[in-house]
Amino acid sequence: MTDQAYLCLDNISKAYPLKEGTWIKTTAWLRAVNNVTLNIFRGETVGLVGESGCGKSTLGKIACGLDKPTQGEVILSGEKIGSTNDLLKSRKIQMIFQDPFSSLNPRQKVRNIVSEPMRIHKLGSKKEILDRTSSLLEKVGLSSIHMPRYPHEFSGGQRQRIAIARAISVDPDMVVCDEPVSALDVSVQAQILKLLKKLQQDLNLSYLFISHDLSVVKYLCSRIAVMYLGELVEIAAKKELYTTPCHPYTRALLAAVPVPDPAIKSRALLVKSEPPNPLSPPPGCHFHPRCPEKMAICSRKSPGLTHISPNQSVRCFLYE
Amino acid sequence: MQPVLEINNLTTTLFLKKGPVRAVDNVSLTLSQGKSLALVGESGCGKTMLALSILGLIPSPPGRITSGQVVFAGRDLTSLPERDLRAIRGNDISMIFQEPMSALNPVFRIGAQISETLIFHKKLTKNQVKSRRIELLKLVGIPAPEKRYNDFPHQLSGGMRQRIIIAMALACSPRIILADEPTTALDVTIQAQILDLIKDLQEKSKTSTVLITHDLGVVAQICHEMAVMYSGRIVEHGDVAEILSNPGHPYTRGLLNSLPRLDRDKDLSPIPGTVPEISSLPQGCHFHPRCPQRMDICSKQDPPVVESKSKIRCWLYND
Repeated sequence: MTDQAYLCLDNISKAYPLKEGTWIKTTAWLRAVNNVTLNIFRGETVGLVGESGCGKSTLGKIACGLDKPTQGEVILSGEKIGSTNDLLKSRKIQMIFQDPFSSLNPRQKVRNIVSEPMRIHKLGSKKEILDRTSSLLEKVGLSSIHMPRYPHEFSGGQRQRIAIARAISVDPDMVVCDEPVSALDVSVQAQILKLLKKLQQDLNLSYLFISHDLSVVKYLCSRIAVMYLGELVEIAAKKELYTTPCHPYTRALLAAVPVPDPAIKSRALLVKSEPPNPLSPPPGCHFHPRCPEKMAICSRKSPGLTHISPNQSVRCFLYE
Repeated sequence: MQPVLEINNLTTTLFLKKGPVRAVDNVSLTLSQGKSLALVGESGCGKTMLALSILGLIPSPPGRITSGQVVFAGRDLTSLPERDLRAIRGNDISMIFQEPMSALNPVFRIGAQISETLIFHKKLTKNQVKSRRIELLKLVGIPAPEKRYNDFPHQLSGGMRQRIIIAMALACSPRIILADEPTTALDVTIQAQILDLIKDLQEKSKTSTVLITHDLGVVAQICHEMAVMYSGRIVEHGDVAEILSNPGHPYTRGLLNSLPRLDRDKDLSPIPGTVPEISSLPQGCHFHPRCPQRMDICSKQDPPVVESKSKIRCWLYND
């Protein structure tokens, strides 16, 4: 690993216009991502966790060039990316989506689904592409007899394997995984997680792993970023995050995960109510209305990112 | 303790084109008052079919309860006429459905949807219904219920909708709640709130719960007893603490080993393969093709139920 990050998301913001009325006027802006800076190194897995609607998928889309940030730069191995198109063309970053039932075209055969990225990027002759397709399917635990079949003939886990084969078909350096296992059963989930780990070792991939499940993230990731309402509230190495979580939100998330051991009863409820409407986020620290440790300053000023140790930074007044 | 619900050798058969298949196969369970029973297993193993069979809600055709009894309050629900069943559904036994997005009717206000059961079963007056539904919305933790009951489902978030479904299930203070994956579609923080709510109800109003889930974490937090299902059968049944600390059936062990955990570091060892199609089940023990400890006898003969600390259906424990 070098000092230079492979992918650097520098001060990214993304706002979506909300349009209303006969003349489709922009009435408000939904700020999905706010000044997020995140570096991802070669061969590393970064986890991105948070509740639904906190902007983690938006950030994932920006990272692989499917969406354009309203502000900030995407820097790929030291080079600024001018337009999202360049990022897409570079085929260095690919994506795996959450729902394997809607991410595969039901009218295409598996052969076409997996080989399409190679055909678009013109990676070899027809024969070469076909050979590579069957070897890719074997790599993800399927076989070449599955090539002429349609997606509906497969179970959820197998479909996710097809999606993984498609993502790694053009030899990417990094894969953005947007909740790849949350639609699967536990036993299948474990199979897919093992597969992702093995592929990472074989192909030296970096992952940006988006999930809401902290136990899954713990298994796969080396560094974890916690998002709340469009902002990174804590970023830490795995060990630090799980042993000494700092932000009250991180602690609440960890306490909410049910542990399969009746002796460890979940602790008193830490957060109440639901995340606020992102259209009108509360002033100051966005988390303060739900925070068990809020102070007077929290509703007035927005906290900055404080570095607690080389491996851990947190955005909270408790540590400033 | 007198059981509230007794299921004896229940078999539900689906008559498909390929021939009859048993979605629920010879299941016997009992549920005591104020206790909660978890039904655990992968999707397609018959958990939901069992819950629907209890309420007589099996879609027919193709399904039918072919043998066995469901005894509730001294009556066998499987032999009751539809009229009597309707008086029980939602009143004595109610169900929380899995998807809060599709279980609510999008064109009715939530207030109207909650009061439906109250008007049908309890014959309350308009004013009584109004105060009761506000009471219910408060109970499940909806802020500003006086305003909220006039909302349509699309105006609420996923967590709120799930609370509305729970409020509907609670409306007539049922003795049994069947909860089909009540928290699967929700965030962990909201899940913790809903689980707390269900636990509270168990303790305060002595409601019995059947919780269908594939999340063993949820089971450990709120259930007393658990039954692990595999292809329509119960393969292990017993006390939650006992099974989770010392799982007997290889399938239960497999489920536990494939769970990434917060409380300890270990590698995952997933169960290989997938759940067999219910129409083409393997011979002998249905789990044997995926079982790491299979023996010769497993592929030939069905294992008997062995009763030790828990009830286990596996040849390993048969000496």
